[in-house]
Amino acid sequence: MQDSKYQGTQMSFSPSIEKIRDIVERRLLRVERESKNYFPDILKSSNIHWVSFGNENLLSLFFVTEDDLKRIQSYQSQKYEPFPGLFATDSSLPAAFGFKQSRFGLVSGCSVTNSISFSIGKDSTFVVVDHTQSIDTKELGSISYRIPLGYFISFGDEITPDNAYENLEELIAYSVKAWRESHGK
Amino acid sequence: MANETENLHDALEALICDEKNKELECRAYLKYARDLLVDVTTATFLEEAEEYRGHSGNSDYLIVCRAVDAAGIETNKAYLWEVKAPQCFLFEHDTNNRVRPTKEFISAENQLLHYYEESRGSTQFRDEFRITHPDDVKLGGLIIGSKRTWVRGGNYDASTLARLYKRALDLRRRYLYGNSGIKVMIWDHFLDYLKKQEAPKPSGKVFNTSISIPEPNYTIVNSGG
Repeated sequence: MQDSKYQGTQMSFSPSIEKIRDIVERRLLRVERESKNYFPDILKSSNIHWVSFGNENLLSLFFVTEDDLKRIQSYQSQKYEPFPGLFATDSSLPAAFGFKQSRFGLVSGCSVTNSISFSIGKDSTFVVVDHTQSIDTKELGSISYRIPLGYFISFGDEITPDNAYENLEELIAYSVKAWRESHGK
Repeated sequence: MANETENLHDALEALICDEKNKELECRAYLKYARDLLVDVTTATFLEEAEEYRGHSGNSDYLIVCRAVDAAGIETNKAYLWEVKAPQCFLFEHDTNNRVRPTKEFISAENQLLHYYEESRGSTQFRDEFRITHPDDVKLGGLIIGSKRTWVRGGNYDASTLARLYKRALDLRRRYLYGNSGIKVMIWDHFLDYLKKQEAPKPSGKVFNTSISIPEPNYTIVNSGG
């Protein structure tokens, strides 16, 4: 017999500003200059903005520009999701790329037009760098926006709200390794 | 680099799948996943030692790196890990609805705590690695087992086994490890980390019509607080 009380505690998830800030500072901000050299430009700016969202399916973290943040806040005020067409957790929807039970993925320098970019199944983690999303919407017409850097963690049998931040931190560590290796270090 | 990573991945996978105890052989691969073993980003790994000798025994894996603290000051940090073979089981049958940690798992936990307490209190240890404050000696965690050694014994079906394993581990994380920062990693995790990078395959599907922008069904927070 399953313990319904325990199962129930797994269902909802809201990102913790404090926990994300701690991880971001340790892994991406408080680093030696030598490490920052191979980081994406968005992490080299003097005023770094991030946005995180989460629900029972996933935790995500995006690094955005000042202009992106204004667009996101404008969408929020209109009750639109901040990144229309970027991802879906409903596997029946068509998408350009699919992730399911796949860890440490990396999507870099892609443009997706007239399609959802990512179909996100269970137990997946992946990084998105310099990604452009363009899509026609009923409400706003054609829109296009860029994701300088984003992290996705989807929940499932192995990744749960209890270890979500651990997985986020490991995915960030993985992205740093990938950037370092791309610079031949 | 791609070939090297591929070779590392395949070689580690073979060790994990082996029936014999491959702790020592697997330990040699930890240096390729150093970023997973520390809680900071650094370009400077100062020391890595397998079997660092202390009074209460040998610490299985020690890694020392340079980090920048909240005040912007560079400081050395040491992380201690206890390593067991991918062939070791993490949990074993207790009841039909509960599993318990194996002797190997408990032993690893106990060894780690003793090494940690001894190291952070040892002036000799801190001097050797130029660690200025005991708080910069950190608990890493346990590296033990693999997906096929989650649970020993019991006639559990696959989904029950996975549920009981997850529950037992989540409870330890939540109530025992929460404040200490102890991590538990299985060897498959390192395998994922070392896997060859494959470009995601485009599905080729496109929409023919405009989409509706839904109201967000998630909680949104940002760096502004």
